[in-house]
Amino acid sequence: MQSNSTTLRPTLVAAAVALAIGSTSAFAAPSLVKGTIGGTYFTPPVISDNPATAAASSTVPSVYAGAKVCFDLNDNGVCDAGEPYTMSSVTGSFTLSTRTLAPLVAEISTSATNNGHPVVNRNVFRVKAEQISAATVNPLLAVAVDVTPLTTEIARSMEADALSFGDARDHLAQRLNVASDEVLLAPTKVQDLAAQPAIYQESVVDTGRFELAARFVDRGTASGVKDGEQQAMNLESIPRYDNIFIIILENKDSSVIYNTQYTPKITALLQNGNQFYSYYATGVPSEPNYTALGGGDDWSISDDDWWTCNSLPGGTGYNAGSNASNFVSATAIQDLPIPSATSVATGSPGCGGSDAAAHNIVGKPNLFNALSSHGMKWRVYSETMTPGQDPRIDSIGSNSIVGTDADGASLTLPNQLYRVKHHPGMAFQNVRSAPEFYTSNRTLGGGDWDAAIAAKVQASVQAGTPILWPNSSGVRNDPTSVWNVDQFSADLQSGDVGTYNFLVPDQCDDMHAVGNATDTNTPYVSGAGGNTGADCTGNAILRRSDNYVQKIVNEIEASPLWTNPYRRVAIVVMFDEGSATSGYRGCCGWNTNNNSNIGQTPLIVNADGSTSPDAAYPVPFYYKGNPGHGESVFGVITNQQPNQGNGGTAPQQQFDSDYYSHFSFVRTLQDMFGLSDPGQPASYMGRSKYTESFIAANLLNLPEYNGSADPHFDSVRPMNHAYVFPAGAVRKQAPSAAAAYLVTGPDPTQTNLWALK
Amino acid sequence: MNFLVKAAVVAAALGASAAASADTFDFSYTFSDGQQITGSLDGTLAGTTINNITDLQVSLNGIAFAGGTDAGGATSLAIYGYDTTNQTYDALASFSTVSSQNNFMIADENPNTTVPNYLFSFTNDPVFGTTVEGANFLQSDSFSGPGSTQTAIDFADNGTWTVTPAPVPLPAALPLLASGLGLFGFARRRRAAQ
Repeated sequence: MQSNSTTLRPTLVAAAVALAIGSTSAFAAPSLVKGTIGGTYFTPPVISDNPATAAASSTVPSVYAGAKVCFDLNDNGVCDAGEPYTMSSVTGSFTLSTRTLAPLVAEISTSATNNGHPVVNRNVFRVKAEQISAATVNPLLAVAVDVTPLTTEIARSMEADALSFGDARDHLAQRLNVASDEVLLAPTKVQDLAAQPAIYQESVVDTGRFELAARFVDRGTASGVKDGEQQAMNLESIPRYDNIFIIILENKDSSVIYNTQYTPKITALLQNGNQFYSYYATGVPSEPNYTALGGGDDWSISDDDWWTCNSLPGGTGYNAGSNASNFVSATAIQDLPIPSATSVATGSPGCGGSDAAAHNIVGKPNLFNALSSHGMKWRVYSETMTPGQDPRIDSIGSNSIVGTDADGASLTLPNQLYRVKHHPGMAFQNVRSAPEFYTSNRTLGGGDWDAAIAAKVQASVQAGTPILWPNSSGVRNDPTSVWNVDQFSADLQSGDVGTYNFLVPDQCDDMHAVGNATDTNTPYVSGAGGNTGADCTGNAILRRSDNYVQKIVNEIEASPLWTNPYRRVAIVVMFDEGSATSGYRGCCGWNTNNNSNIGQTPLIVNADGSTSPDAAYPVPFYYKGNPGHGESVFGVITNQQPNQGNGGTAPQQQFDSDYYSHFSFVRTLQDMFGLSDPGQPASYMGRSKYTESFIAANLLNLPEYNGSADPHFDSVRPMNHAYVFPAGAVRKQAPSAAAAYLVTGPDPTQTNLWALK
Repeated sequence: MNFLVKAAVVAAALGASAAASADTFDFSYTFSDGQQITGSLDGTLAGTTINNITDLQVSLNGIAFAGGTDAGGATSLAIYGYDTTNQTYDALASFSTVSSQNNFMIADENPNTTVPNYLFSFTNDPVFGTTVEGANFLQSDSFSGPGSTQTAIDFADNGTWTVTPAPVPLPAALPLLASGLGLFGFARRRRAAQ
């Protein structure tokens, strides 16, 4: 698919013609242009708790009719009075001329249409004069130039990075792995079937970003179209990334990990990348943290009674028809088919928790729905799942699957190496009901039992009863839908990863542990207690996980995505929680001091900007949630850092000691992927909207912050290193913070650790 | 009788003389989006090519170019040939009844030295194919169309090109015949008087 060839007129003879023209005339070059105002028509998914009514998104190439297109003679991004203009036809086409070469601007107002559909949000697309010039053979010969979101992105990147048109075009093409001329075409004219998906998705994403830009201009927070576009690609100073890989580990505070004898590789990754020194979790134990990472709130969950924990035969939970009060608004239809027990397990561990919270979150926003609503894909890759299992229940052990650990010991597969509670989207009903749910949950390789699982799958194929992906419609890379123990590796090579990728090692590789060889661990399968090596417990598990993280990082860094110098790719190494249960145990959106004075239901922002308790979806015992926990390491490695060898100039080996939390990270991700509007607090999900200014403006409805001794510590912010600590300021840190992280006064630099240059 | 024979011979000679110098042709190109170039010229048809072109008149969407004045002085239409090798307009114009043989620009100023205010070009480039375009860059006169300029463009000759001999208008022929007869009458009277 990648090609440097081009079918546009200019590139073959442009230089010779320019010389010829230059030798015969010195007049300002006119522009005679015929083109199309093109883009994509994106139908967002129907987000629903009910899988019967949820629907997938769709994207088709489109044309804009009734758009005003002009030669922007003063290059201000606006069609001013007196500038040559016309209106695009019903087919999106236009012809336009000017005596003086100038950029093209297409103003797409709400009176225009997109493939016949009303345009809901005003937008502006552009073409740089350099693009027209490059397409020009003789200034008096007309050229075909389309005006699209991608040509606008080329214009924006030229201005942001001082690039020539040719370089900006080629960089975009190489980022998308398509031919250079294809990024200049209206999507309706892209004939290359292999190039269409990438171009369509980029068009959808760019369209959303440039809608934001137009909104900033209309709101008066941008000085003009160009400024608005730059802001829209750097929301709250968080730049747009193409892919992020989040490697989540378990239950270790920063003092246990950073610069210790057990985790030299993670330490090196942190030191060579960038580090956030004061990163706090949301609560304890796992499930509230993962849930908060999925949507910016734990919804009062404060134990690990994941929503299907007592659903299996023998259990007494909701899916067994009792104790329904634990599940807000949960009815059987909301998660049909109910997770199958018989296909993967015959027993039930029951549930021993006591938080009495709703672990089935209904009707709440989250990153997964937001990503799909903006035309992006998400993936959760989990290690050592049971072949063919439904991802809504834990994995089970088997005595017939025998692996080998690093020491050469034979180990039967234990239960619960894959845990539902470690999935950041699993608590959300509307995530589990989404059409992409099954195809977005995939496997991560590297476990001790991979070879044995693969052999079992292969045997099933040979027997004519292949073990398939659950509920699969063949949309994964494997057209036969046969279970692949390491789909992640395949996806890295094909590029079929998500924009957002959450990598969940199994419980031996994530530092959690599932017990040792003598631990029967409430087996699902009689006699299948499983056993794990000596390195799945104690300090040894730190070293084991250290190796595993390095393995995954190496694999990502060897992928075509990472080595593509024009993609923006990040790896995050982080923990779900630390160990502090006293002192400064949390920050940044937490329920300060576990304050029982918290509102009894989450806060919502009304259409008029006022706030009120969310009466439609009350959350039982909301005051018990979000108590804070920490601190733990948080490292960021990007492929744009110089030590990655891609020629990038992003900061590396820097740190940021400002206070951040899972809520801060969720806010950062919303900025990174253009999911929210910084001018609209309500557009940020859950408690990630709780900035200092928002808390101050809504204090009556946020009683937990009333009387805060340190509003900066207690409030949420994007992880952009904007705050400068005063001289002598001592960081509020948990007792378990790494000693090296204790700094005072301003940080040595205020470098934004997510910056790309 | 003798008078009538002589008159007929003279009239035939005038007619023959007119045919050898130039005929008037109408031409039009209707773009695929409905816009239209129309015009006329005088020239000599040789095979499918019209040479010795004079008296150019061109309209874009029914609005005729009537000449004007810009910073470079008075402007009027002339035809220029397209050099397919160098992509310049300094060759012998090829204006043809067959669209695929066209390589010309009708412009109000020399396109090799300045930017015309008005142009109609029809080129067939061996590398880039066909481009037909009409443009009026003037921004503040009667040519102003949608916005402040007019443009019509086709790539790949998607429109309709016609060139037809202009019909000789009957009212124009009668004064010619009358003047011829008058000349004969005057000569006859002079000879009679002598």
